Amino acid sequence: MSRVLVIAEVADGVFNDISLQCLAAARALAGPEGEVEAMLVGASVRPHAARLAAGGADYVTVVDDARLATYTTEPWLAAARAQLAAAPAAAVLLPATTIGNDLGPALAASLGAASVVDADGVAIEDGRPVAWRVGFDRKVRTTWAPEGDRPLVATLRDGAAPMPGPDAARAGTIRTLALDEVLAGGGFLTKVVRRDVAARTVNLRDADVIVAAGAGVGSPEGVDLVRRLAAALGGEVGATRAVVDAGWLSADRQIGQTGATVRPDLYIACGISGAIQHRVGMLDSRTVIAINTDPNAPIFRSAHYRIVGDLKAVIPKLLKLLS
Amino acid sequence: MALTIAVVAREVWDTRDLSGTVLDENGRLRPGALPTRYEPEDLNALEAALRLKDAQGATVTVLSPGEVRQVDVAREALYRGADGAVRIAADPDELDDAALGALLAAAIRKLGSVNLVLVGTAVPDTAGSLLARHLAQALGWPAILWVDAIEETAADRVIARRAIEMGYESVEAPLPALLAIGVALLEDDPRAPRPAKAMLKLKLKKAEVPVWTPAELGIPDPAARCVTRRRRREPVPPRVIETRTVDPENEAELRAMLDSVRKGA
Amino acid sequence: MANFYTDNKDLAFIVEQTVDWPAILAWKETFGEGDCPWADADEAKATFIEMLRDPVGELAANRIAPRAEEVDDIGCRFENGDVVFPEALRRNLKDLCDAQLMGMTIPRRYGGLQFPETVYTAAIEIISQADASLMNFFGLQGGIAETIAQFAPDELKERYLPRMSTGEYTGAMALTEPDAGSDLAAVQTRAKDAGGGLTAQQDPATGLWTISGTKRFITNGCGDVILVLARSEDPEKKGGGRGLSFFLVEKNPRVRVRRIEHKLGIHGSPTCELYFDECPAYLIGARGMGLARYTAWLMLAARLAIGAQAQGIIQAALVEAENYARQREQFGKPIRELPQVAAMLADLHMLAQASRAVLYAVSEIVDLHQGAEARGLREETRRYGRLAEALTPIAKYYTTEVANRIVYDALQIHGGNGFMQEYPIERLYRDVRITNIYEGTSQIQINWAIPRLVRGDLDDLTAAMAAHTLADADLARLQEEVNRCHEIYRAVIGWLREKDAPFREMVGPQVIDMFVEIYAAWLLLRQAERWEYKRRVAARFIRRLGPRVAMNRDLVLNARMETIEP
Repeated sequence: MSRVLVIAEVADGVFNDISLQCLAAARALAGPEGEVEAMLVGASVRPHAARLAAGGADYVTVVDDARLATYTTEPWLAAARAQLAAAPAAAVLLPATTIGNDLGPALAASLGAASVVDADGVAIEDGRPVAWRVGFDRKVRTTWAPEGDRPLVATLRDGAAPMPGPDAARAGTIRTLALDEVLAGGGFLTKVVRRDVAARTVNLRDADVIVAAGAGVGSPEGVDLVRRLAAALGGEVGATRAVVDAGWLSADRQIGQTGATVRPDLYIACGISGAIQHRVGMLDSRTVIAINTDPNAPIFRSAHYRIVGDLKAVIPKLLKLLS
Repeated sequence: MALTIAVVAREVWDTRDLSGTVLDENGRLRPGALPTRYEPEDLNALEAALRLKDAQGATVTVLSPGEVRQVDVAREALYRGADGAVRIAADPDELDDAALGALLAAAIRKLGSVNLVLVGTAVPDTAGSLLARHLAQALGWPAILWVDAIEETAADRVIARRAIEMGYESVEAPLPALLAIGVALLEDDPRAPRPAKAMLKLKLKKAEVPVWTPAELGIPDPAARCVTRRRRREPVPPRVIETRTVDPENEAELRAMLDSVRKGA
Repeated sequence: MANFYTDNKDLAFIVEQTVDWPAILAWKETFGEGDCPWADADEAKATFIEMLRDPVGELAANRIAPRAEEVDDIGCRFENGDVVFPEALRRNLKDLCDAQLMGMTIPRRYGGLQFPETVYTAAIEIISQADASLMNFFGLQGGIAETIAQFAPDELKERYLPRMSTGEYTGAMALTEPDAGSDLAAVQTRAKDAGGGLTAQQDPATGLWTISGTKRFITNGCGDVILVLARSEDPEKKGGGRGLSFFLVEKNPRVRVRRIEHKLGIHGSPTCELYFDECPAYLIGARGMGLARYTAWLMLAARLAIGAQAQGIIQAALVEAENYARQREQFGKPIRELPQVAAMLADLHMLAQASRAVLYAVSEIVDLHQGAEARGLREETRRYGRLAEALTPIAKYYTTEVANRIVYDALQIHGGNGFMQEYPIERLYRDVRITNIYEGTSQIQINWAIPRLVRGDLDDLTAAMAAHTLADADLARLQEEVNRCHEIYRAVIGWLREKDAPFREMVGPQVIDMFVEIYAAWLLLRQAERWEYKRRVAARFIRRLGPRVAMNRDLVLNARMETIEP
């Protein structure tokens, strides 16, 4: 295949390394002879271009502008369209984040391209790119392909492709595009008026042990127990969205649909009922222990060890056994 | 400008706790294997629309693609307080988001004067992509996705709070606009969208829900609008998790569990 | 998502397969005419089922039940002369109003749904499963509104019923006084005419009444429409119950809540002491008929509602006990598999179903009575009225006593955990305790029912039940067993005819138990004709019926008045 574009993601100054997985997937689609293009849009994103080159991009196009400090659809879409106009691609890959899942379908819709979000993998079949997703309660894998010779725009979930080791020798060609050039008279329709976004200080994806707190912890004291258990096991503390929203733990500890996808060796779910939005982020953990007072909590279906009880009673017992 | 709201209501397969196989030997969904439900985020979108109606007055019309399979979501929306409902004659499982978006956009234009469209952000198991984006594109309107709360509406704009990875951001869009509603409206209580209204249900139980055909919407062959094709469905071998129950009162069991998981780790 | 109607298989079975809707509706509706919203009974039935699913079952499971703990924890408070509801209760009430459920039995012309009592009974059960205390708003509304609809002058109906239909107004019934609890004939509250003086006189110019005095233990006494039983007649001339009349008071500054009670349970329902200070009141119906006619009518409706409340608590306790027994492991297996626990659970299910069978059978009879009355069918009105008057107290007695027993055992299944506030069974245990006390204690229900049983008011009904032929041989054998028990019961009743009233009251509990268990057994057999699963339940129930009836017979025959003397 001739060319595959990866739209990499830098959000609030943090490079999202699913972008590198996208590069690996792009290389697999493009083949050794094909070209892998990467694109980076944002404010002060230029320094990350080298990582994309080292990660396998032959060309990196950068649109770096102070007006692009936070993501909004229109300028990103304009930049991507400008890039594709200059260098048409058979496939476009993005990380399946709230940015990627907004931009990817928007781009596909504006180009008349095929669109798949939250893909668990991409491949070439009959010379054309395809993407698949596992759904129906993990019972069915559905594969989609573009109609005719349209390009495919797909967003990839964490883990959909291997993380490439950086190759420092690869330099790639880095180009820049001016924002005003890509906007070409179009404007910013939507604007972010307020943000309440935390800085990322931990990366749960690297943790071997995660002890996660759900709404069932009930209080900051409950969170403290979870913290102590994590410390005793040498692990990190994770959280559901409810706990983050309650202000008991910071957003970088959130696991699930709008948080991290983790695959630790040991995952202990404390007071987590197990809504699907959370479970998608931890289903691939090697061993799961779940502690919950509700015997019917869905989390137990994903658990290797099921403890029905109040975490305020159970965790101190575990701490005693661990000391 | 008063709000005239169109809300998308999808009837989707309820894929929670599926027992047994979903596909037949030809890789088709086994009819009868699955119950259906009102797409939960679409229901949140309806709830958001009805709250706007309660708070400031609005006309809420529900657009429901597809024939009724098990749950008549258009009617359920009427019973909850929507002012009108229209069914779009099309099979949502056999159309992609581009085609569905085109049909819905045509319906919204046919309704006329709609200045706010609400739809769930969720991607149903049968869908490849995010309908919200395709619909916004077909309308040529700005969109805000993963909306938790509608913070402000004015004559010409809307401000909505959306959930993103590391927190929340409030985004302003000029009207007309599309908002894709997320998992929850983020209130502690009530957590569940409102139920039906009894008097309304009694009154509307025989109300006609008009059906608009693709031809009436100017898209006689919606399948021709598809750009993403489902190539196949394959069964995924079930992940067997053997769950052991550990009695929290039993120290020996707890110890054995800890020993075993720490050895593994 | 949970739904307290569709999840409750026994209730759905009763509503969808046993209740004789065509019979109820034949008298209560005129299909295809006037404001009747249905073309036929099937359509009406489908609507009832749909409504019980959504909004009732939906609201109960997903909005009311999650708030029950908070309502119970915070409870109602009394601050600066006002009753303050917990926020969660205010939301519940708003939800009920928004779902347009508050006027479930109020006539359509006054903005209500005009559903049969049996639908209302089911709705009360479902709401009470979510939060028993909320029933005192939702479940008493009907009886109060129906009393107004039935007996009040038109201008009062037009003034209050539409607002009760929307839920803008809630109601209370002020019957009990510090010295008049079970013995309502002792009511002292003085109603006097505006002209002054202690005896009741209607002001010829204004026709207005005022009432003064104190009422106690008034559920939702802070409500907007209060039905008051008050002494209007000169006790010298008309003493006791004959001197009491019925009044309607709209909330106003001359009726004050003086305090609210701190209670064991149903914390979400304020129990008020009311002080009437020359409070303006409207007379309802005829003077001197307050107790005999209107209170009796109101109490019949309220008793059925309390029965439904108890049934809701039963269902909640059953779910808690089942869940706990399935998940709790001891001796290497879920305790559900231990024979004693399994037997307890089998009894809980069996008793819950027996109780529900009686409740809905009686509810259906109340509907038939109301329908006959509305149609002006004199013979049927008399017949069903007699049945309803005897069966309602029996149903109230049985459901509330069974509820207490079920919650007791459901907590027992929880072991030590059940004693802790973390588990909902603890709240159910406290909430259920009032059900066999208020709206007449079990003892009052028995005293109400016993003379009617001895008089033979239910003989036609029991004869018909006994004569019913079951096609299935196994069921027919069980029916014979029940009929044998019935013969024993009849012999005891015959023997009691020779005894005086005090003796009958003393052995009342045994007699009522005999009757109601036999009646329940027949009903379960009828159900077993339509649902395979019920065969096991009926068989278990009837296997224990013989010994129980024999025991109760022996207890009655061997009872001696002198043994209860102090």
